[in-house]
Formats: sequence, structure tokens, C-alpha cells
Amino acid sequence: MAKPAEPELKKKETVLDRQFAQIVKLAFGTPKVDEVTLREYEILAKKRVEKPVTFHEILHKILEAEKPKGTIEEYLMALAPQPKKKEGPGPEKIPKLVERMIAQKVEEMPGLTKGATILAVKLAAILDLAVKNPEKLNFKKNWVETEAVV
Amino acid sequence: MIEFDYVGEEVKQKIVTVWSVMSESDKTHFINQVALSLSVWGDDIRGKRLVVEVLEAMARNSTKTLADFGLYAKKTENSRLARDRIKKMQRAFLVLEGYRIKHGLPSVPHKELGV
Repeated sequence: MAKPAEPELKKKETVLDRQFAQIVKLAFGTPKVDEVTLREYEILAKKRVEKPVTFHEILHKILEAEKPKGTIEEYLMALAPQPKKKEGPGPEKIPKLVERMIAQKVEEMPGLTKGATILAVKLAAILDLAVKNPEKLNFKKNWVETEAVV
Repeated sequence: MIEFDYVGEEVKQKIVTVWSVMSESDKTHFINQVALSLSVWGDDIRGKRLVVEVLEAMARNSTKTLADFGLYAKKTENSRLARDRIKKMQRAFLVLEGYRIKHGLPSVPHKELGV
């Protein structure tokens, strides 16, 4: 009498599920989440699991079982914890040279705050850029409602 | 589509034109005076909008250099943006006056002469 195939398949899927969860956890636990490619997932998978099962094989099983909508990348990203999105324009990094110039100015002129000096320098930079592209000058968007941090 | 900004196109054009012909030392004086103002009256959104109001006043008065910033700053005294920081504003005017005296900057604005 033939052995029913379904329980065996189910058992296998559970193992793969666990391996997959481990891989995803390991991969998304790395600091450079955005730079992790599918190839790197494969390497991680080989290191992590005892049997030489590739990430694609595991993923294939999962996709067969779950049939998710969208691309593989979208599916993986949905599994990973999403970073919180900030509202409005974020802080802007200041180049090293400008940073030194600002530090020097603050030292030379007592009473100046670092934040105010950064903003004044940024305003001058915006005006410099506007000489070349006057139509792009927007005080509200480019200066008043943006934040600059060193 | 009209994009909302604090300053009209004509005024912006005047500001940019004046900036493009300013000397490096005048530009430095402008930066220093803006930095001093923001340091004293605050560098929050209202503080920054006050700076834009000063620029607008300068353009409307056909200034020849934005280094006159300190002379025009007082024009924002009655601005609704300055309501909650009158003392800070007055202190800023004194600081700006001190800066201009220290660096030998003129006490009357540079203006284009109307014909």
C-alpha cells in the first residue's frame, strides 16, 4: 500500500519554513540591510543550514506554498521589519570643508550659535546656486523648512 | 502650477541679481549678520522667515548689496512673526549695530538712484 505523500511534504515544508525564517532573520539582522543581495542570501543560507540547500530552493518552496503577490523582493521586504519613515525633509549632511569653515566662524565670533551659522552659510549657498538657476530659488522649500545638521 | 513661496518671483530675481554682483567681503558680512540674527532671535522656522522678510524688504527698497542686512533687520520689528520675541529682536538689532560699527560698515543703506 502506497504511503500518502501529503504528511511527508508537510513535514519537509515545516523544516524549510524554519530554515527560511532563520535565514531571513540572519540576513535582515545584518547592519547593511539594503546592500544584501540574493547572492548574499545564498551564501548565508549555505552557512546556516546543515544540508547544502540554496536560498532559492527554500524560497521556491515557500512561494509555491504561499503564492504571494508581487515580486520576490517585495515579499522579502514585507517579512523584514520596516524602518520608520520621517515626515518632511530630513536633516542634510554638511560637507567637511563647510563644517570646518563653520567651526572657525563660531570660534571667531562670540555669540554665534552653530545652528544659526550653518543656516546662514546654507542661505548663501542657495543664493549662489540661484545665480545659475534663478527659477529653482524657493526660500520656503530650500531654506525655511529644511534642517541642516553637522 | 503656482508654487507657494514666501517671496514673489520679481523680488527673488532682484535678490539674486544683487547677490551675483556682490564682492566676497560683502557676502561674508551678509552671512555673518544673518548668523548673528538667527543666533539671537532664534533659528526656528519663524526666525528663518524673519530673515526672508528682511531680504524682501531689501529687494523692495532696491538695495545694491545684501551686506546692508543689519540696517534692514529693524524693519521686521513690527512683523507678526516677531510678536512673541520682541526683546530678542531688540537685542539682535543692538548686536547687528555693534557688528556694523566694529567692521566699519555704513549706517545708511546702499540704494539704486531713481532717475
